[in-house]
Amino acid sequence: MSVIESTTRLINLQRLLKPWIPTTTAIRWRTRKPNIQRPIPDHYVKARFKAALEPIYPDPLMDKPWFEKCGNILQTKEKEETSKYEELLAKEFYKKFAESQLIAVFHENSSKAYELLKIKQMIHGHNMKMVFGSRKIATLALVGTEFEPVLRLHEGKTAYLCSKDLHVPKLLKFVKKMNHLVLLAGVVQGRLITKSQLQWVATLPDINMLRAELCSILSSHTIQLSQSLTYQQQQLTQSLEQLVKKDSETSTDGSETSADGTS
Amino acid sequence: MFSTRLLKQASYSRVMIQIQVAGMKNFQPPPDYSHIQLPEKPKLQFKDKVPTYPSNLKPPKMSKRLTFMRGPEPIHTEFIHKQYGIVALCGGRLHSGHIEMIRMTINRKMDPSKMFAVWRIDSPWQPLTRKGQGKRMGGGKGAIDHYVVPIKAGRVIVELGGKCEFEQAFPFLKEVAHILPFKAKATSYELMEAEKIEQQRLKNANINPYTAEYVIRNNMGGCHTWISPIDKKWYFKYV
Repeated sequence: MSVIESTTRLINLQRLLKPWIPTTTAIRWRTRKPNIQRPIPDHYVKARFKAALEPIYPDPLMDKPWFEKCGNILQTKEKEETSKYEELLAKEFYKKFAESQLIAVFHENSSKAYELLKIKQMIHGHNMKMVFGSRKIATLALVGTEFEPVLRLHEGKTAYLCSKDLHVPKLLKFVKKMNHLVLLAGVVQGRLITKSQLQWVATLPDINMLRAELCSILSSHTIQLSQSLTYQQQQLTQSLEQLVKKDSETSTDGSETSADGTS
Repeated sequence: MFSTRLLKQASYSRVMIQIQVAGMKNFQPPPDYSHIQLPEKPKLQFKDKVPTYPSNLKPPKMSKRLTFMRGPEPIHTEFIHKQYGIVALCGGRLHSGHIEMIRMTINRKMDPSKMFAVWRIDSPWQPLTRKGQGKRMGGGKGAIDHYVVPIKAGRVIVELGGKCEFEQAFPFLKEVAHILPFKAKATSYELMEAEKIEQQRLKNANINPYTAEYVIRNNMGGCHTWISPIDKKWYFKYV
């Protein structure tokens, strides 16, 4: 075995130590003028180098989560641009809401302009106004304000009836006549209430009466307390008054008998 | 029966109807051009075909000097008026015919009341010689045939500015750029800036550790045996 190994080593060494005759050849190159606009194709070595030196860019989707990798799952909506006119309309919209005490929220079905004219004529002079606005304008106007919950109802075409007075039976009477408008809810003094709650509010008496009732309820305890504290004194004064009355009656009777001569 | 069949056929036909809808318009104010001053002579000036020499001087002949066309343009690569213009993408030569073509096309197509154009190249100065047709080799250098302007890659040829948008100037600038004897393009200042940013981003995003610059500077693979001296300057980018 060792004999074979040593012989192979010798053969390899011989291969290495073979005489190497250096040869030089003259190459004619770079003698052509370069054509700048139509350059000659690169020679093989240069082309290999250039291919290896081409830039490598990492996969942009490599470290992204699945919902960004699988294309077009996240639908980013284009940001809506608002013009100055739309901002103005939104301001007007909010102003009408802020000034009114009672607002009725309707879903608007399609109708003719003549029907709308009739509605406007009907509510004219009753401190009421029909307010229309697109979802964009309503959002601009009401987001961040006290009326923001009303936007939850603004699906599709929605109309509002803003009343400066708090007269719900009158409003419901008008609503009955509006055929193409479907009452969804109401806003009473800045509070969003359902349709059935609105109908219950219509049954209530006048607000001032209710306020007076509330005042009386609130003051009932104090009145009771004062009554109970002054009960004894009152009784005393009453009985004293009664006594005084009796005395005055008997004294007049006595004066009458003395006039007669006998007591 | 026949009538309903016809109706069905009509419903399957595709008719493109344009429905006009009254919607909310958002008209933006027009762009502000108050900072732009129009010069007295808005059109491109005539350029001499032959340079003027003093009367005693014989017009000198010149060697080919391809170095004037080779490599990138170091100086005139930006727009002075920061608006629109034509930029060369490759080296070449412009003779009086090309210059006249540029001048006539731009002067005809532009609106002198709103736009102005400015040359960014010299008049032809480099003499090119030609021997007579069919003449044999020898007998000295040929006579001067015409003069040219050598252009390097990245040079600004013509600039256009004024109270206009790029979309207004681009159609005729593109026309001119396509006719030039070398690769050229019509661009705007914003597009050039964006391109620079993009080039930088690509350079930074490259994860290949071997770049032409690194390989040549470090003589990797013994490339110094076969590269040209210009490759040591421009790293395989220019011929």
